[in-house]
Amino acid sequence: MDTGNDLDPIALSQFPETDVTGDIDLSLIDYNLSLSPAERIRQHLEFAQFVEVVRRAGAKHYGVDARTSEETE
Amino acid sequence: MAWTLELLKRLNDFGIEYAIVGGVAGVAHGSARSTNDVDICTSLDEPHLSKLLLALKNINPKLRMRPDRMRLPDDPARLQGVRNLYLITDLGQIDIRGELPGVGSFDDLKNRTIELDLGGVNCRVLDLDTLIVAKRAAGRRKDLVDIAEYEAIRQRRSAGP
Repeated sequence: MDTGNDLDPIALSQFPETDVTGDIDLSLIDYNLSLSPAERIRQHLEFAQFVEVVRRAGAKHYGVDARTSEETE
Repeated sequence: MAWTLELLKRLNDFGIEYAIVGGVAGVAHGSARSTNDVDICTSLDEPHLSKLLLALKNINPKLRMRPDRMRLPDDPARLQGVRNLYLITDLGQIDIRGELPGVGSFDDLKNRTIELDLGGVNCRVLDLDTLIVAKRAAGRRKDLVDIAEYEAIRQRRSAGP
């Protein structure tokens, strides 16, 4: 019977492996390196599209775009 | 629709309550710094965990923390006690936090959020003051840079136009 011992909740809950500064998520780098350059760029552009939607929603919420200081509708 | 929005819409469709935290929340408040993945905080206790696993089931979720990139199990009993899930899915990367250091669980932070309409996908986003508290608790070098920017945003907002 599979007891699920391959999934240690404590190990899974720790922050992903980082470099010595703690700033660089090495598991994310490993994943990115597993992709082709075209796949990396596609993922980046997809995420940038999402971030732009979030930025616009935030600007609408506050009534001003913090990057340009222009008022939004 | 961007993949990440599809992912968040999927969570909404399955009735999962969550808040966007981390760098994407910073963008909503005016941050100009870039980020590469989305972090959310939600309950990882039952029955929420089961609903979350159902929502993720058809988008090929894999555990980013494991070198073998094992598929996220469908059985919630196998994830009992887990506090965070760092995932790669067909709709992009997502870090799922059961609690946020310095702030607490989703129940602790859900009233410290703003609600945004992300192109038809409604999401809670951690408010700026609480985001600063969370970044301070995380305390990495990059968090200190984020805090400096968020405090500048807060100062400019309180100063008014």
